[in-house]
Amino acid sequence: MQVRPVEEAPERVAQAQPVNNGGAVATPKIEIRDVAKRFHTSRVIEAISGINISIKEGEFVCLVGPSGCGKSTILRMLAGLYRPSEGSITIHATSSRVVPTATVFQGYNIFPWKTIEANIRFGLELAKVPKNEIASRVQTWLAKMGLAEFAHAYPPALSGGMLQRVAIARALAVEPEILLLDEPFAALDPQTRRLMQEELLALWQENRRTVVLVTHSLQEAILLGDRIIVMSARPGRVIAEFTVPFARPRKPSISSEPEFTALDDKIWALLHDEVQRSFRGEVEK
Amino acid sequence: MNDVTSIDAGKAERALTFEPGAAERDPVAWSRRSALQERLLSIATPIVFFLLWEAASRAGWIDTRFFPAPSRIMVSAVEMAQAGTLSKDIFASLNRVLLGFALGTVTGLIAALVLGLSRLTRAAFEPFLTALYTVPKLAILPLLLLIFGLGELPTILLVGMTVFFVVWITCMEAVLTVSPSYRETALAFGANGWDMFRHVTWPAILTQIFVSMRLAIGMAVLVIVGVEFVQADVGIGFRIWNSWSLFQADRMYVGICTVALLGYLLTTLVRYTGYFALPWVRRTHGGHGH
Amino acid sequence: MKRFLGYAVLVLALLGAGSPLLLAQSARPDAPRPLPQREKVIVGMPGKLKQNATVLLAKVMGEFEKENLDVEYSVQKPSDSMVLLSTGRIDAVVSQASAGFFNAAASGVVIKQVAPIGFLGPKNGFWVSRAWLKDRPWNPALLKGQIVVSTGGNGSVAAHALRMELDKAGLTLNDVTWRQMSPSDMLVALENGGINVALLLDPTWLKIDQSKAVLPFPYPAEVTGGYFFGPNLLVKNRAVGEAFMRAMVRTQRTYLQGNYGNNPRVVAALAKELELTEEQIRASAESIRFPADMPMPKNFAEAVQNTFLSVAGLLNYTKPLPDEQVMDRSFLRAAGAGAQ
Repeated sequence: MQVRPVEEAPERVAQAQPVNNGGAVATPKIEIRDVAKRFHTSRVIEAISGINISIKEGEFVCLVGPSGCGKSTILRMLAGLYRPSEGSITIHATSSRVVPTATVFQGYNIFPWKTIEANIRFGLELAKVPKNEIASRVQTWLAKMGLAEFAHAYPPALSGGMLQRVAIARALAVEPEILLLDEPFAALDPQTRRLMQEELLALWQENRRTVVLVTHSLQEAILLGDRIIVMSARPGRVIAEFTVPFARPRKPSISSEPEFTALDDKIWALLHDEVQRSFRGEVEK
Repeated sequence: MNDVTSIDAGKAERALTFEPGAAERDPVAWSRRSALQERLLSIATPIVFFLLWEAASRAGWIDTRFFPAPSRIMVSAVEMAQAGTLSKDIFASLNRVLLGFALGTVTGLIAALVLGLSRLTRAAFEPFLTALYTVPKLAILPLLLLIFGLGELPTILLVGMTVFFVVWITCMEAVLTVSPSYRETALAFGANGWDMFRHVTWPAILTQIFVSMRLAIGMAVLVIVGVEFVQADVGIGFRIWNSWSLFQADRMYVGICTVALLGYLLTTLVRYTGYFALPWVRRTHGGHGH
Repeated sequence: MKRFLGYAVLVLALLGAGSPLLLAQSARPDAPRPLPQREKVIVGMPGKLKQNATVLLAKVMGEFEKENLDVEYSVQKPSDSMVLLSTGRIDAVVSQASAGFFNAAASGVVIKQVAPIGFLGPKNGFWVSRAWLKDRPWNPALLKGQIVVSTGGNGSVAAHALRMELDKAGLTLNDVTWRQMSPSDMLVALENGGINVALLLDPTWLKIDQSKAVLPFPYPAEVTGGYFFGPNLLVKNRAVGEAFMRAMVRTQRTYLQGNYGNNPRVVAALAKELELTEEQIRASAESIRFPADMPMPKNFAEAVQNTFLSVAGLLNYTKPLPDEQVMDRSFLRAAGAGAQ
């Protein structure tokens, strides 16, 4: 069941406005227009409705909201796994890869039958990158993520944190135009989580690609993101957007700044009711 | 009330100490000893069984006309080996088993993949094939003889059919239950149909393929013995049946033991092949107990 | 007075002449002599075939009842029934003097053949496919290297019958290969030329397409199976064995002589027991014959054993067992039959 997003073919992009033309309004990298998604199981579930989001090239956007608000659904649509029930999603792709995105899932989804090295290679093989290029990229990312000694090990030998590193390496090795992360650190313990956040921050700041991060943690969103989009309980709607006031490059120490806590409180005030609504909604089921 | 407290008076206050046990004091020796225990036990059971049998027949507790002593069976086995009948029988049966097994495994795998991956083909064929599964294969033998004449083909087909169903059912189920997370991941990285098969579906079902092959090889041996009872002039199954009708019980037991040994060897062979073909399973279980 | 005396002498003379006849009638060896106590006898058989008609009719016609015998049948494969007989679980068996039987007797088991079953009539025997024989006249040498198919294999008495034919061309049983098959498979294979030689017995030969197969040489009628007693009837309870045999001899002599197809009672009973139609019974009345004196030829056991000895691996011993170890004609004799 392959679902492809509505995307511009590379030829058409050449005719579109250039992405950076010195100050003029650039074509959004991702445009989500009036998108709704309904799931038809024993009854109809409206996951999201009337979503309008525009993401610029090189922007780091975080989606936050209560459980079931549909933020993962939006991400999956960007990854090409679902089609919208209404509306459209347009991604302006410039590379020749079949899909412009690379995804990191909450459950790592590292293939147990491949070695760590083969897992990292996976996306590159699919993208038909030339062999020697593959070899060098894999070596680079093994070193970068501290996985060199596990290159020929199998996934069961690694801890959760290590496996998530593998997932990130796998995604970044293909040098995607857009990086999608679906609650990537939710399954890790708080200490590993903090470490991984700092690592991701450093990695992203090396070459600022477009990122969409779905998370429950406001601290994570504020630390990593340029913009935070807040969603309501089901059916999910965008109820607020916040720009993160910290300049780039950032240091992890910003979490102790007063603006950080202020923003955290502000967003939480908004979310608090939505979370309660979603909780009640679940009970009413 | 005084009596109640006096019951645990002796146990009210005591110090619990946790100290190293045998396994902790010398782990290497302990694990070597454990492995040795397991190995000895697995060999000991059949040996004890045969010793008891030998003792019982010498003591006259069992009727040796129908339950000859293991020593007598050994003598017969040697005679049959020297006369060449044993190797001829083994070769004939083994040939049928292996050809039928190969045929059934390949067709079963193909059916599992085609029906597992194609919703429409599955809807068309699954109910029909499931009904065929329960038809006793020996009942079809006369029909096969009619169509294919007398030769090895009907027998091989019968074994093939039995193997087919085991492999098809098990592997199709494996295809249908490949974790959706892995499929999603592959799709998210732009996998097409072939990529999906090569990187996800095939490795994901490989463990189950070997499980089904282990089951199937055992069943193939069972079926061949059954078919040879009814329709053959050479083979281990034939030898068992024929010896019984000639009132040669010890030769019958040679046949029975040979079948058991053959089944054990073939199953072990499949298991070891799986062990080597699945490095990720091997590494995970650390080679213990296979 | 003289006339009265004359008549009296005549009557006495007639009585005197007739008395041996009268006495003979009542003293006939196969006349019923019911046992003091009702006894149960279990008879194993491979199936209900016309060859076994004697034991089947003996029950249906009430002959066993007259001896105060309660006879029960147990359908078993021949190898199983021999084993059950050896261990005394069943009392008698319808089988044949096969290699298995001789091996059992040699190992000390107490079982003996006590009577023959039906003799095989003219249409029973080794049929060959016309496609193979073509128009050639029959020559036993043609059998060399052929595959011979039967239900019993080379350890059965039919092998002995074939050996008698093979002898004529100087061949032995080792010049043919035996194959086992079920009767219906045999029929089909013979008709479509898949096999060349097959042993067809009653009732299989009834279904053969005679344009496709032919019986090229006669089958020796007396090479047939038999009734066997085990230790229960041979040793423990001879009286029961004798009662059983009396009923059997009576049955054979009363109902199965001549063209029994003309006897509606017999035809009806056979049709029911054998699960055939009365037409089929009448049409095939001559296919199996039941000689009134139930002969068991004297050298039969030795000849058959010699045949088996000529093939390696059939018998567990090297010299034929003596006739008295495997054949027991005393029950037949007690019932006034058992010619040699």
